[in-house]
Amino acid sequence: MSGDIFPSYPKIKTKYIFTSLKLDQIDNRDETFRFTDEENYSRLQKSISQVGIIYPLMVQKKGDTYGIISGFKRFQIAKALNLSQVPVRILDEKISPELTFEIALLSHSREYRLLEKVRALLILKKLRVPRPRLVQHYLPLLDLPVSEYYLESYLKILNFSFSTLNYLSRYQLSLKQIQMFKGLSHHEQNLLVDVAEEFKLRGLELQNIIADLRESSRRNHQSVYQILKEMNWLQFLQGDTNSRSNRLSQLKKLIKEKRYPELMKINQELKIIKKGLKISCPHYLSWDGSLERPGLKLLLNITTPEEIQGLIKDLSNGRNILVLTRLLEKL
Amino acid sequence: MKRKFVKKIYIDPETVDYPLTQQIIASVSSDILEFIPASKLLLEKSGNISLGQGKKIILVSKFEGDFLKPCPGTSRDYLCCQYHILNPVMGCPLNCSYCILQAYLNNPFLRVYANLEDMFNQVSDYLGHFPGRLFRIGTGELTDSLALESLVPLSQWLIEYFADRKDVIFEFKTKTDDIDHLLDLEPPPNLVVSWSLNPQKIIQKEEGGTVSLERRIRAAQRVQRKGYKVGFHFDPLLIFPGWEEEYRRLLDMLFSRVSTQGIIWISLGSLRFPPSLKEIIQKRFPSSRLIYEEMIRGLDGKMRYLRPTRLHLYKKIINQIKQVDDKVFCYLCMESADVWRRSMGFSPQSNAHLDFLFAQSIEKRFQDIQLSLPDLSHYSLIHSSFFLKNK
Repeated sequence: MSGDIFPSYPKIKTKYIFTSLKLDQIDNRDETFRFTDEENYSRLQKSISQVGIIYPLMVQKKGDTYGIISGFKRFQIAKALNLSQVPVRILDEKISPELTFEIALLSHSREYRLLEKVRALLILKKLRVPRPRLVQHYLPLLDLPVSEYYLESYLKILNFSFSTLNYLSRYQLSLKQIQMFKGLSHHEQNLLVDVAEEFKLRGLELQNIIADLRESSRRNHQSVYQILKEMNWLQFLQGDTNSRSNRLSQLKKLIKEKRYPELMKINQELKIIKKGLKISCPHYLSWDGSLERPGLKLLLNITTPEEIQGLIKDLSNGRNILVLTRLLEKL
Repeated sequence: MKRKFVKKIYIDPETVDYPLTQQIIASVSSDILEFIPASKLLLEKSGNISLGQGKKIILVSKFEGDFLKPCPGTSRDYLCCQYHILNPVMGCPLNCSYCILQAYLNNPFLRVYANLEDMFNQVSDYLGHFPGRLFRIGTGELTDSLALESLVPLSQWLIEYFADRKDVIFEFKTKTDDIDHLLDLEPPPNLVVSWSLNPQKIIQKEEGGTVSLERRIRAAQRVQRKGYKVGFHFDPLLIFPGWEEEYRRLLDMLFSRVSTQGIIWISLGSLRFPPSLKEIIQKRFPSSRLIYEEMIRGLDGKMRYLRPTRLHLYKKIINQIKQVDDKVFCYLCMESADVWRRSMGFSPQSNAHLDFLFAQSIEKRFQDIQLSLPDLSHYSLIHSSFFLKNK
C-alpha cells in the first residue's frame, strides 16, 4: 500500500510504501535522527505486547538494510518481545536528509520535552540547515518562539554536564530555570545536582542556593567548588542521624553565612540577646533587619489591668533594661 | 581632541536653527550626520540598540520638560544637600560598571537638547522665585559634564550664562581631562570644576572610557593653577581587597598636587544602586565584583553597604582629609543623620540646614564670590512645590 506521507501537510509531497519488515532487515545502529527521550518504555511495551504496533515505524533504505527515521523505541520493544516483523512506512531514499528529519519531527503527535527539542535542533544544525531557516521554520515546529535568542539558548543547553541534563530532563525544568547552571564547570554542576537529588530540590529553591553560592564565589574570589569544599558539603549529603530537612536547613544557613557573614553574625547575636529579655505578658520583639533604622518594635498583648502592673515591673527590671540597651547598641 | 567613539549623530530637523546644533553640524564630518525626527528615531530604533551601542550615538533634539531639577534625594530618611541638576544632556559616553543611569534612563542614546534659550529662561524663572539664597547647580548628574565637549560645545554657553549669576555656584563634574577649553577663559569666581575620584585599580576595572587617576589629578592641578575652584567626589566609595591602602594613597597623591585652599567641597558617598541595576551589571560587566559585597536594602530601597562598613569607609577618608586641612568642606551624600554624627562628629538638622552649611562655608572661605552672609530661613523652601505649581 502507498500514499502521501502527510496528506494534511501539503508541503511534504513525499510518497511512502506501507508494508512489514523482518527485524533483521532493520539496522538500528544509525541514530542520526534519534532525538526523543528513552524513558517510559514500560507503558509502550505493555501496549505493544497486548495490541501490537499501532503506528508503523518510519524507515529508509540504506544499502542492503533499512535505517530507522522514527520508531527507535518501538523497534527495541519489538526486539525484546521477540516479534518476527514490524509494520513500517518506507520513505523514498532520494529525499534529502533535512526533509527526512522534518518528517520524523512531524510524525510524533505528542509535545516534545525540552531536551528533545534541543536534540532536534542539534540534528538540524548538523544537517547544515541555514540559521534563518532554523529560526523561522523549525522553532515553530517545536513550539518555540521565533527568536534567535531561543535558538541560541536551547543549543547551549547541551553544554551542560551529563548528570545535569539527566536532572533537567527528569524534572522537566524550564529554560529559565536551567540558566542557574550556566557558567558552572561540569564538576560543579554535578555536585549541585547531587545536592538537588539528595534534598529533592527543584526550581526556585535550588535556584536560590546556586545564586548565593555563585555570589559567594565572586565575593570571595573562589570557585563554587572551593566554596562547597570549604563548607565540607559532603557532611550534609551523608548525614545519618540528622533528618533530611535538618541537614538542608543547616546547609542553607552555612551558604547564607558565607554570602552574608556580617549580617548573619549580627542577626544571630540579636537573637541571643533577645532571648534574655523576660516579659511576662505575650509579646513580640522585632527590629529592622536592614540595620538602617535604629530602634526596636515591641508589640504587647495586654488583656488585664494586672498585666499592666506586671509590664511596668518587667520594663523597670534592671536585667531587662540591660538586655534592651545591648540590643539597641547592636542596632 | 575629537571623541572618536561617537559613530553617529542624529539631528531632529526641528533643532537645525539652534546655535548649538549649528555648532555641532559645523564641527563633525557630514557622513556621521543624519536628519530624522527624534520621535521617529526613538520609536524605530531605541528598542534595538543596546546601552553600549547607544553610547556611540548622539541624538540632538528639543526638550519640552524641566531642564533644572532638584537632585532627587530619594528618601526622607537620608540627608540630601539640595543640589540642583541641569540636564542639557542625558546619557553618558563613559562606561562605568556601577553607573545608575543604566537603570535610570529610558533610551540608550546620548541625548543633547539644543533649545538652550528655553533652558536658560527656565533657570532664570526658577531662581527668581527664591531670592536671597545660593544655589549649587551642575550638569554632571545624568552625564559627564565635559566628556562630550569636543562635539557638543556646551561649556561656553553655560559659563556665559552662569558667570553673571551671583546666586549660583555652577559645577562641571567629570571623569575626563577635557579641560583645555576652560584654560583659554578667564575663570568666573562662581565656577567649579570637579572630579569623581577612585583608586587607579578601580578606574581600570570599573570606569571604562574615563581617564586615569593621574590624568584627572593633573587636570585638576591645571585648572586650579588657572584660578578655577575645584571639587572632588569620592562617590561611589567602594569596598574591595586593599581599599584602605588604595584610598590612603589616592588622598596622599591628591593633596600633594592640589591645594586644599582651592577645594570648594569634597563629597563622600558609598556605593548604592537600585536592585534592578544588579542584573544589568551582571550582564554588562560580568567580571565586576562590586555588587557581591555584603549589602542591605536601605530605606530608600537602594542596595548599600551595611552601616558599620559605611562608617568605617567614611571615617577613614574624612580623618585623612581633616588631617591635611580641617577647613575643607566635606559632606556625605544620601546618608542618615546617625551616620553623619558617627562619622563626621555632627549632623545637619535638615536638608535645608545642610544646604545652608554649604553657603556658610563658601561665604567664609571664598571671598571672591562675594556672597552675602547666608540666612538659614532662605534655604528651607520646598523646591518641588515650584514644579508642582507650574505644571
